[in-house]
Amino acid sequence: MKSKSKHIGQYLIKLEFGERTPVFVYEAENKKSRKTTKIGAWYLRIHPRQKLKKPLDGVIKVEKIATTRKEKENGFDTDMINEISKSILLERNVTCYGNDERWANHIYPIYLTELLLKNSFASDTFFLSLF
Amino acid sequence: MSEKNLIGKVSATERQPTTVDEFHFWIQDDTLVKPFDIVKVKHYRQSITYGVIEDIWHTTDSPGHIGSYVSSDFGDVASEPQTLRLGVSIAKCKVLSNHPQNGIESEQIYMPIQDGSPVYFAHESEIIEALGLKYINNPIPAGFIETSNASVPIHFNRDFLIGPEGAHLNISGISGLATKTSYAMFLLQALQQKQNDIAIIILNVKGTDLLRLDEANPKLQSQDQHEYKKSGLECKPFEQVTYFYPYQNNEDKFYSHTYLSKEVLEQQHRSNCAFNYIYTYENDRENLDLLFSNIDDPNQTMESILNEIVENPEFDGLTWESFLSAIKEYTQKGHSKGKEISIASWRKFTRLIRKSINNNIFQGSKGASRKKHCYLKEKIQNIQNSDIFVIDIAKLDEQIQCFVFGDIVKAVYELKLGETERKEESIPKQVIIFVDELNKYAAASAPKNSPILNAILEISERGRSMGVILFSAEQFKSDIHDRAKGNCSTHVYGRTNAIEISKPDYRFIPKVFTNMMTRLSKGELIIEHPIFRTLLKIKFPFPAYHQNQEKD
Repeated sequence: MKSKSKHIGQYLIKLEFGERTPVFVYEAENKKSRKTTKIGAWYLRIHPRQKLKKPLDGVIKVEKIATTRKEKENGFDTDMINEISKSILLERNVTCYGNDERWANHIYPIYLTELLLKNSFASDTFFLSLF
Repeated sequence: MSEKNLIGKVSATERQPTTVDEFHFWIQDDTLVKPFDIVKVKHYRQSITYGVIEDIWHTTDSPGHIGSYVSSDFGDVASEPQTLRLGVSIAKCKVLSNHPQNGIESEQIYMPIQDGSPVYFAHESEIIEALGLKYINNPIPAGFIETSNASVPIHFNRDFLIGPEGAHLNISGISGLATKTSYAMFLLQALQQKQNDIAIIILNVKGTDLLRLDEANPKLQSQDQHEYKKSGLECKPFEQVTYFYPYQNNEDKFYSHTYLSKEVLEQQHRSNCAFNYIYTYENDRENLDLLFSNIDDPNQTMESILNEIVENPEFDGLTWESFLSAIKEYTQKGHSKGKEISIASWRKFTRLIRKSINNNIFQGSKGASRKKHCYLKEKIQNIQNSDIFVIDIAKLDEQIQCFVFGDIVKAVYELKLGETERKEESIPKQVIIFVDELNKYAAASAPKNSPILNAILEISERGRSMGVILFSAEQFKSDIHDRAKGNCSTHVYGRTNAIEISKPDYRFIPKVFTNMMTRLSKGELIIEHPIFRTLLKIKFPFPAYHQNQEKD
């Protein structure tokens, strides 16, 4: 994503704890069905940047699919986007610090879900022995 | 098995596998367990394995504490997480025993427990089975164990408490919680009620706590009475109690040298259950060595003097006064007697002994009957089954306390060795001596040739077979002579401090139990007895006898 003069990255490093960017709306095409889906994406900083090593640590990207006609035609309601952002911000604690490199850009419920799914996969050893 | 008591499942991991001796299980949320709780687990061939919880910890998926710090908004104590961290409480259990269900198999299974086996709280009858208390011969009530889900009365095996299989009991713990003495008295009461062939001698070493054993405790609540009943005991004071006080020449106090109030003393003397003991030169000259129990005598000069006194006919037929005059001659410069012992030694001896002999208990002979004079030795050697003798030594100084205690031990020994004229059938099968502050008589640092230390070692090593049993208490077990405590079959631990539990005596006790010893509250003890498969934390009812001096 790019505005006329700046790359998105330049905005994100200035994002303070609890702040979000505006929602960028774009269309994604399903190559098989040739159908397009409208997606709204925005960035949110969930940890204070002073506490983290890299400039983009603590910033997460949120994507929301436009599901209603209103959303598809007029874009997303700011109150709803704020509400979603607030809920995600509340999930900043606890973290998966020490267990996942991406801890600063991750939230714990998703980490747990990933863990659960990964545990249900066949093990590496089993997978390798298939070949 | 009732699902109601299901509390978790066994977890065997690479780092912490289950073994023959132990297993771990995770505890379901909102279930509270505590160390000493007894749990049961389903095992091979429908058998049941019992375990006792030794340790409990809570762990999370955080690999380090910094993760916890970061997870609290980088150290904001007020932050509250929306999603709780994945965490679980784990209990470590020691395997107690394995039991076949419905008698299908008769042998115990020693295989480690399987991962995922359900874990249940053991209920009352299962706790009894788990601890091996189901078939106890001659059970002696020992209090209750209170687990998270049950309160179970437990019993000692008489044969291991007072012989012949094992004997002697030692209680240690800091003072001021009134637990050590109260528990010893609870056990003695159980023994008096359950056995009719024993006699008990109790030394009252401080205050008046043990001087009203035959009076009911007015402060007892109905809950205590219920606990006595549950233990299988009657809630009543001791019976057949006789009190022995040191004699003092004071008619106002009924010639008794004690802290007990005049009113209570009057009552005891009137009902003829109190006497005042004395020592005469004629009877007790040979016991003078007991006065030197805690005096270091590396060159054995005191011993030589004591031998001289026993063997030299010059010291025959004296009284205490004339004895003091006789030894005074040996302290004079240029005297011609006892040349082989230096004057300085005689002077030291005289100085030490004069202080003691000036006490009123050292008398010429028995006086008028109103003085209720008696010789402890004579009384003890006539002790009957179920008798309780309380001998007050609280107001005596330390040297004389040792003298009296040594005299009691000697008298009991002579009785049990058959050196009296009594028929063997009439002598109590076991004589139990209870003494508080054992560190005064059998300290680890006591001189090697201390006659009292030797008497105590003799009791602890040979007393079991002879029927002389020592129940003792002290603050710090580590202060007691190794051989004196090493021969005790039953050990009781009250609250103690962190320095004490770091001593070698506590090395073989699991860390969680020793740590718990520092947190025990009033009325709680940890016991170790040969027939129990583990240490047990117990409670016991308040004493049923009057503990305070003043009438309520």
